[in-house]
Amino acid sequence: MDTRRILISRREALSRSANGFGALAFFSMIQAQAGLGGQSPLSAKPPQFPAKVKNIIFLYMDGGPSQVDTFDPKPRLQEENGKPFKMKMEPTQFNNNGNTLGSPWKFSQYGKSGLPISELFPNVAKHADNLCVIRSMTSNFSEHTSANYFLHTGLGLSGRPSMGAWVTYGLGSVNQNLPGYVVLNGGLVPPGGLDNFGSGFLPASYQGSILRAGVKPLANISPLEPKPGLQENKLSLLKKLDAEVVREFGVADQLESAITNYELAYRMQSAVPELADLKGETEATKKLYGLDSDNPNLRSYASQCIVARRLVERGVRFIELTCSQTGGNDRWDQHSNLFKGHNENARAVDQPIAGLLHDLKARGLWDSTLVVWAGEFGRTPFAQGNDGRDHNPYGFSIWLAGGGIKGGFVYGATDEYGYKAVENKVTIHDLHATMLHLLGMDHTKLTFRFSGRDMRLTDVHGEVVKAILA
Amino acid sequence: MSIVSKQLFRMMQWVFISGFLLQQIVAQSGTLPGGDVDFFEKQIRPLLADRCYKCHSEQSEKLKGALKVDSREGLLRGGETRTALVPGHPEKSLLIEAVNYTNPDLQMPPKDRLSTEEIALLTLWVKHGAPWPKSSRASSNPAGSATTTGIDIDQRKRDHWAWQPVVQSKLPRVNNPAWGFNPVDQFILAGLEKNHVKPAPDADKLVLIRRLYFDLVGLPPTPEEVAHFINDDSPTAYLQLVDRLLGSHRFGELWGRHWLDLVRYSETLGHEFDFEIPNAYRYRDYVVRALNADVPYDQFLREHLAGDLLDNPRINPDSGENESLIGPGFYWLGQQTHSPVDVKAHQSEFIDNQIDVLSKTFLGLTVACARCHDHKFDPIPTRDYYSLYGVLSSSRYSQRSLLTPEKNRTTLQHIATGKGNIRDDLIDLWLPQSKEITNYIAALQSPTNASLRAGLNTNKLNALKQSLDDWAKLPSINKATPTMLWVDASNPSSLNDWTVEGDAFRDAMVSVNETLILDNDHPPRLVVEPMVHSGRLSGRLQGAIRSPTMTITNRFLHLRVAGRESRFNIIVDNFLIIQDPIYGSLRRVMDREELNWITIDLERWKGHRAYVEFSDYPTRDLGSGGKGAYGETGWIAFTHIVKSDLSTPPEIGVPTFKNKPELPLISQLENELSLIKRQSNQPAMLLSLLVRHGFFDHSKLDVGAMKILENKLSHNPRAPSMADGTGLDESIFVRGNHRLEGENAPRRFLEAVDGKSRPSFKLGSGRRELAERMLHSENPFPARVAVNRVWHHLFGRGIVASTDDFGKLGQEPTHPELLNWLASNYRSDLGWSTKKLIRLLVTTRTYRMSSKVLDQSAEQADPSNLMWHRMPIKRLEGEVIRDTILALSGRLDESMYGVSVPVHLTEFMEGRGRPGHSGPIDGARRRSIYQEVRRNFLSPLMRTFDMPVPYSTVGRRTVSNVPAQSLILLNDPFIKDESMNWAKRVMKSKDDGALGIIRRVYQQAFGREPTLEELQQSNEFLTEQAKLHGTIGIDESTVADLCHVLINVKSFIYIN
Repeated sequence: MDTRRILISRREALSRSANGFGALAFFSMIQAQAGLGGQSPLSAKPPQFPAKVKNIIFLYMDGGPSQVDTFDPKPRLQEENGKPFKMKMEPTQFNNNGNTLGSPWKFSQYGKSGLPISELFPNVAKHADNLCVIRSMTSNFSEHTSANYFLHTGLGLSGRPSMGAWVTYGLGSVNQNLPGYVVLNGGLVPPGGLDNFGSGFLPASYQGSILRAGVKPLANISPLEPKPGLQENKLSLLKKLDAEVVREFGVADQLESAITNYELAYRMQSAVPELADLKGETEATKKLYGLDSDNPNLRSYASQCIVARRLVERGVRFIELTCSQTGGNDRWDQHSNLFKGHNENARAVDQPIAGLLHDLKARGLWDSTLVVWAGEFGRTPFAQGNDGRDHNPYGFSIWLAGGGIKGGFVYGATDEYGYKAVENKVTIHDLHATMLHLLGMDHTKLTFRFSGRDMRLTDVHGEVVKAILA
Repeated sequence: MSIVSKQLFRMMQWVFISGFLLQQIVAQSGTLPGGDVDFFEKQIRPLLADRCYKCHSEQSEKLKGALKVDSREGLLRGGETRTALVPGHPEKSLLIEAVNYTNPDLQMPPKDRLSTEEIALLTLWVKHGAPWPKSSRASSNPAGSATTTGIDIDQRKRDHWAWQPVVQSKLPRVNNPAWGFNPVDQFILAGLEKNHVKPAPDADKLVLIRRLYFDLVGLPPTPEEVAHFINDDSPTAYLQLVDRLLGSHRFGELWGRHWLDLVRYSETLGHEFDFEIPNAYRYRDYVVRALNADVPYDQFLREHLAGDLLDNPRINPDSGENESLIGPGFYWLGQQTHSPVDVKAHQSEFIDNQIDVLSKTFLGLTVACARCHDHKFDPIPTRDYYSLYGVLSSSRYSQRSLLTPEKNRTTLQHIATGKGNIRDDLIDLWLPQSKEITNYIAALQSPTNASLRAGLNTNKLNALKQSLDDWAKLPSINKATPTMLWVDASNPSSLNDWTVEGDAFRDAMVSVNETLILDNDHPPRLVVEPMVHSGRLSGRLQGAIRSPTMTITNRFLHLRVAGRESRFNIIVDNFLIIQDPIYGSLRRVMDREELNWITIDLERWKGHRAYVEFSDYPTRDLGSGGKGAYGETGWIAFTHIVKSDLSTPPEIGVPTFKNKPELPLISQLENELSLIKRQSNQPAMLLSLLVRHGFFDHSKLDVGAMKILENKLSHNPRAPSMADGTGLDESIFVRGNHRLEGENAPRRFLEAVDGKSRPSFKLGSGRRELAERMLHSENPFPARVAVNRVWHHLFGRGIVASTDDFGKLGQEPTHPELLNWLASNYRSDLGWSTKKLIRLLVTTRTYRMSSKVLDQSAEQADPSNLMWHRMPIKRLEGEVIRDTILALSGRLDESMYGVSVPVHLTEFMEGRGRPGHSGPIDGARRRSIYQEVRRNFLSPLMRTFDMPVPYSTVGRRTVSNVPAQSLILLNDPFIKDESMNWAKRVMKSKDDGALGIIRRVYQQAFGREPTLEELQQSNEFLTEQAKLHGTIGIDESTVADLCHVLINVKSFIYIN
């Protein structure tokens, strides 16, 4: 068998090579690329059918932006502003429902498509002809945490694999020096915590790696040895002693791949900090994203967006960006003070996202990348108290852009008040199915046997939203 | 579009969504435009065909909801819920409700609403009797109820091995009977011989001792222990070692962790704020103790299911605590939602997880797969799922007191006697003092006459004034009793169905003219109306009293209640995190001495099930609410509970007089004193007021004896457990939707095990009966599943590899006869003893085989080692790796039990509910099983080495092999610290130079001497590192570097 021959020669390499540490690295890289040995769970795997995109950047809008203030204009709300809300109100999280609340922001039509976008997103609006807005998005939960788990894992409880974990499980990673699924932590871990990015019952290899800004972007990525050479010596001795273990234990695939992991880990120690280091970016690029802004939140999100692009360039499959903390606002979760909160949150992300879209196009990454902008739910068209909006999972807006997606396109609709989706309803499962489809995977066939079932990201639901595919 | 419909459309244009309005409009038009047939064929049939047939017709590839709309009969019969069509009544027709999207759970077509016009047409059609031309084809399958199960249970049972009874298998014949050490080997050898595979040679003694240590206690042997075993040539050496390890306390700590994986052990609830589950650690300790004590597995199962309901619970001989009571704690280790908008949806998720964990852990069955439909593969209909659901929804969370009532019984008897004596003393105090009242009344009546006040006590004067003011306010007529009086303490039978827990409410009915002394800090009181009072015997006693489950029909609940450091909760659909937003109003924290009406608005929860709980337990309820509700001396009292649709409480409660006596009151007072002396039940109102307001001087009252007695009351530890509630069946939730109820599902065990005509459970929730049915000899699952789990841990893979799923989608047993033999022996000869089972298995020759690949032909014949032709190499679990490191660094603290060590928080562990303080990086040097498990803040070290997310049962952990593990072992500060500690320990013990040190760390880590090559390489390394460190000779940091390397060597985390 070819695999075995290669393994044996690997072992020979291990026991014979007295060279430095790198020689083996080269070897394992070839092996990983060839997909042989099967030890690395992150080895790149081909999609089930030709993929439209290779990477996904998920711009998670924590807290739930309001659809009627961003991408779903409802003149009727203005007309009935301050009057009792005419539709039947479903129970809400705070049970403090006020009157109809018109949007304090004006909408304009942009681009050739005339896509209406509110003045909260003047920069993103410049890409209107590239955006596919789904206005009929729905969720099953009115509570942040449940809705977060649902958006991320397809179930309203913790413990299931996140979409990024499924993607990495399905496709592996083309870059063995970086984690396959990266979460760029902007400062706000969403309600529900890190389990939004977990691997659930999938092997832990597929869980999201949390990257933070700063010199130590990833846990345990920095060697603790005080001087150069100390760690290399350790690794060199380790290699020799491991060779003895292989002799003692006999053939064992798990030992082989555990040894290989040290090669990878060693390279990650430099690859990860390099990734987060923006020194090499031009001034023009930095400006494009807004790194020169006087708004610290905008700068923070801008650097996340640049790192996201760098991750795409390096072949990382699934990248999620969490939001940063703006002012005294609790994420996009404006139960009160809608005007201030949404203004500040939008300002923090608008230019960086627009910059990212521009940059992806300029660098030829557009067609191979899918950008998804979404919160866990939307907000009520009626007020909470006087100047806030409560959670609304019955109909809200998200957008997609990039490879394989129709631009300047609106799909689905809510009712006249923007309360509930009434046309072409899209579920979270549908969104997941569509994302997997674009990556070349049939969501009904990406399965993992657990609990006596072939588990899926989409459970037993989900249909690809074909109408939005280019 | 026809003209008619165009007209209709115009009419409708101003109508938005409201189906109700539409119905009103269409009601006004006459017959169907164009005639019935024409209207149907032109308007209705095409519409149904176009928008509904895909999922609801003969031609549907996959019929949804068992509903066909391609015939009138189909519509009339309806789907899983009920009839879809009531001709002439659009408002009663589900079809119309569905297309109108008014019910969020029934919206059809699901993706796209019909147009307003189309809805109007359908409504009009139904309004006119839903005419359907006779010629049109009737459904070819008119029979068949939508709710009966479609699966053939007997057929499925016959077709799958796991449902066959456990029978004592015969030992197979083998060619080489001399090879085996016990019958288990015979089964393994028979399999090997059949395939012409030779078993591997025996492993050497070093391998064996390490294998046994890591498999049985999860720690490495010391060099001395290794030497002793290797040098002991006696034939019993191996067995002695096994017995010593099985007798070690460390055994329960390793195997306890295996068990915790099954019950998704966590000490917090997860979700948004990750609230704590108080005392969850006591469940963990219970598991460790039970394993060390080798509690028979059938008893262990019984305690898990119904430990709170056993007639003869297992009492811990050391502590006197009720061990059995802790078993049901496992039900509550799942996650719970903070402030769910739909409380019943939350309950259905929570119970689903309980069923999932219960059925997988003890039965190896995925009963939860039958939540929305009959199980796809196994003989488990949805009905069975809701039978178990009813059992669990009839059970309640409770933090139970672990000491048995006997513990305090004598003391309480003495207290009761003592309180009787105090009452006599009080009366003796009151009699002489009451004579003074004449003077005080005179002083009050002539406030300007200063001479009357001379020599009088101002406090007493004020007390009298207040008492008389209150007296004046007393009502003098009896109010009518309201009709919705639920509880009335003067009628104790109104509390008959209430359940009492703990000491406080066991003897809590206070009667008229009883004196009440909570404790030394409280002045005595004279009670003038019957009430339930948790402090009757002593304020130190604690407990809870709970109502039967009711369905909320009235908007308001009025409760007349008093108390301190206590609370009452309205628990709706068993929802326990009672706090804002949404639920805060369902809890009231008590901070009032006097009885008062409190009104709870239940509008939001009408139609839900609920119960009332009064509690003065000092243990926190779930969530962060209830500030001020907890204290060791809390008490709560109540007299009336009224269900009402009025927002104001009824005017009952204050004791009244038919004819209120007039002033002067001295005769009244004398009268009352004689009343209480005679123990009359006519209330001594005035006396009571005077006592309350402090007219009497009680400084001479001697309560010293009482004080001593109360101090003798034992501190009562608590643990999360169950309390049985009202036994109520649940209806099947159609397609798993709790808002669509189908037929009733009586509480009972699985049909496939217990038969179609099995009786329903009778006692309370039915958990006790469920436990017995599960343990019945006809149920093949518990024993097979349990022995397979043990096999899995010892041999690296179960005989059934899918340890938690013995169903059709699980894996087949590789050695079914062996599994049967083991299960049957486990139940009989071994008496469900897990230790005896382990002893049997590790003394097989199979277990003692080498893991080394030596025989290529064996590898080819059995490449995945399914026949166990050799032992597998095993990766140590994260917990064992960490414990081993601490053992080697010499810092492992072997103390057992108790509150968990708080989780160490790295800067990457962020999010809501993050504890204010991080635990120590070395976990206080305690074993890993004593480290806190917080759902939202799991230890990255443990997670990376595959400790499961506490979500559902995991009997078989993933064994991943990823660079993140290398990064932890290379760069984690804990590893670095312990490498240094290990180095210090090694250097402190002896000064024998580099080679001596190398030899000793090797012996400690791997139980053996280094090879010559290893010795040389390590020695060169030490020299190199010393050079780089800039030290002269070998120092701690250099040796720490070597220790660090050894932790990274593969034989550190893999054992052969």
